[in-house]
Amino acid sequence: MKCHDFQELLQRRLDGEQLDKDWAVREHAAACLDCRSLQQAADSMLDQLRSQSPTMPPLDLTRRILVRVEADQKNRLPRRFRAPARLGRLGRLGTYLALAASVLLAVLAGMYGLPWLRAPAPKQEPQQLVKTEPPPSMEKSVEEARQAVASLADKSTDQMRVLLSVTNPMENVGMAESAPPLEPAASLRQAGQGAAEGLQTVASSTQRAFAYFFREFTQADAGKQKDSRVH
Amino acid sequence: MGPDVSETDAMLVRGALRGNTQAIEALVVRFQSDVFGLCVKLLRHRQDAEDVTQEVFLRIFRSLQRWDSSRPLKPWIMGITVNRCRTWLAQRVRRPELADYLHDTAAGKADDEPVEMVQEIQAAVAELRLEYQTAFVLYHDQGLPYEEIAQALKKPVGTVKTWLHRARMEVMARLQRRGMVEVQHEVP
Repeated sequence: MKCHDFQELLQRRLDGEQLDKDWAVREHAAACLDCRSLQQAADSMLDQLRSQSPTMPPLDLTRRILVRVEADQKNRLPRRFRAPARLGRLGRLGTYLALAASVLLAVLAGMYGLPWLRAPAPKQEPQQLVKTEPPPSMEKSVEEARQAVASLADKSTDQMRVLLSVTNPMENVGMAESAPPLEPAASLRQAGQGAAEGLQTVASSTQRAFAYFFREFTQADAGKQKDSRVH
Repeated sequence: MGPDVSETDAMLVRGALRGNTQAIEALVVRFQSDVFGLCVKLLRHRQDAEDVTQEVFLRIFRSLQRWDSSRPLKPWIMGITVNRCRTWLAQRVRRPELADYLHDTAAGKADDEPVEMVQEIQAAVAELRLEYQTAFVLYHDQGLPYEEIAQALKKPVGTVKTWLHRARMEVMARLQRRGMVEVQHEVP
């Protein structure tokens, strides 16, 4: 047996193994002073370690630990409010930034108001709240749209008539004779046609009005120049 | 016949996770001696060991839900203890305070124990690298088998064996150097 083998067997004995080569160990130790010294050191160490009494904690350590554990558990936030530990420092930073952004958004919303954060509309009368109208039907909606377009065309035409009556009563009369008042169309299609005709009338009337205005303006300007030359 | 150790540990952990104070206290009582003993051996300072023991239990209860119940609880707790001691030692190196391990250790000493030998072994262990030291203390003081030490330190069993063998050799070499071993020159 060599010294290296002896040391291996010595380690196994320190591990608590019962060696079947114990006689070989004894034989080598008897022949090798270094290994014999090592074996005696191992025996002394093992005896000492086995006879060591356990280290006893102080009597009040349990109480101190429990107090700290209880305080720690009270102070800690629920897990759902904390950043996951696996995210690390960067993840926690992101969480705090998100939190700060939320606070900032809430402050801005308070200062400038957001549509969905504005105060609700004043309450209606209780009777109105109770009295709910049935949703409008499709036919009724189409009829309302048709009437709206037709009234828009009528209104435009009327406004142009008023304008022309102010600028040129004769034109207005002529126009009134040539363009009879528009009848409300029977359907949405007719309403669209009516609107187009109305707008065409408005456009031609406007054109005539501007031509008249420029003619009158030019004549008035020429008259003034003539008078100044006479004087 | 009552439940075995791992079953009892699992029951206590479940109770502690539900906030049962009795289960929490039972876990503290069950493991505080092991944790404190390991802290004393690694830190060689009784007051530091008390502080670190409290921190270890704080960490244990904070991360109890991460314990794999298919494995024994003690190596997991010992692993947390070793990590806390390592951190504490690293911080202590930066502080001017020095640990007087020869006078401040808390190892119980019976009157008939050869005090000098105890001190030599403690001094020898204290001179070891932290990995060797940890393996030595977990094996010879805490009585953990290689597999559980490997779990606690998150190292392969072979590595733990190597560390422990080297630790023993260094301790024995010191005992020889210091004349603590009387070598018989003639074997009968």
